[in-house]
Amino acid sequence: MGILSSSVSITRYKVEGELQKPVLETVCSGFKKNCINEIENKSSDKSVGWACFDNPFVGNFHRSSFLIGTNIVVSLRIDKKTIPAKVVEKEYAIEANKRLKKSGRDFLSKQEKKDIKDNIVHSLNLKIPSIPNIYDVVWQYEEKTLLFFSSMKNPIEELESLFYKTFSIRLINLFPFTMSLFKSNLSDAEKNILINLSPTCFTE
Amino acid sequence: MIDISASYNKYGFIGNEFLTWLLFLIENDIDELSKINNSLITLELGDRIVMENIQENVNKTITIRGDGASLEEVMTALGTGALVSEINLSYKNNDQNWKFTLTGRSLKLTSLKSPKTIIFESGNDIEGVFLEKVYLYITITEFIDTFFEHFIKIRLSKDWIDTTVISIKSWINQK
Repeated sequence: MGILSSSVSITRYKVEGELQKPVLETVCSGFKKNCINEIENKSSDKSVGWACFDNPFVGNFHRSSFLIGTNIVVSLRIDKKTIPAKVVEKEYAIEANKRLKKSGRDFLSKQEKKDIKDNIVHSLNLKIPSIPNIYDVVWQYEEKTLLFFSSMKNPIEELESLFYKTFSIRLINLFPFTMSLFKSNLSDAEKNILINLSPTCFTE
Repeated sequence: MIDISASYNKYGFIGNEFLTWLLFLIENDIDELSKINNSLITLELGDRIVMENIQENVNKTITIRGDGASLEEVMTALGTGALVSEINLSYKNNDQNWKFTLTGRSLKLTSLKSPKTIIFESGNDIEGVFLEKVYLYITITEFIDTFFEHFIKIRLSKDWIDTTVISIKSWINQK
């Protein structure tokens, strides 16, 4: 889901830590090192990496490709190949039948069955295209905040993991408890009350 | 040392209490909301409210749909101990209008429709539209932050039990 879409979902983060200076060079080099690897004609079934916001399929990272105003803007790209289970089932049945005929046996060992399935998945992955999904990211470095344009669990987990892998700094998801702790200017006494808080009952 | 990931579930109720408090103020004391955030012109219920009842370890969810999200059903659910876990809202500020769904447990914004921006015709315009969009998204997140910060200060103070909870209980019992 893109920033420029008519309807978006937003997950918010606090960025914990600082990058090595010069910051923009560190950011650029991090994006380059962890950019998306194409998996077309390869046996991999999934690839996760950074892609240019303005051109997520062919763009190369350079400063003007990720800096808009004071915002660091990038896309998280997740490419996935999905082979329908029934296709694997069909190919397996054909291949298993061939093997049985060739060997003259009437059964296949557990290992043989596994090898056949692995080979089928491998060869199908080489043939089928991956489906790309793009999720935009706006990082306001000075404010230590980051907006991620998705609310889905899987992309959120991929973002948190890729961000840490790229920059060795953590993203803290802002939900009510962390908002209270990090963004609400609470005193130590209030933080202590927060930690020991229990739900209110409005019906008694 | 606080385990941040465990705190998501442990303190999930804070978000639901926040949305319930927000609904209470929208219905009963919109002036109070305007005092908290003076940029507020109108804040109205949208077409969907999700109520969650986690009392006695039974997790029950009710979704209420329709314009103004049928307050009668919401009040009935509140009377059984449910709290607001998701709320669809419409926020107007001058000529601008944001529509969005806010989730209590995560404070995520979903189905966010921000005010219209200019249509871009060339590559150079994209940057301008982008900056305007980001500004509009930041505006709405800051708007929510203002209310949340106000809420959490009250929630952690003596006023919560002494005043706010009494008012909310009386509102629930009145209906």
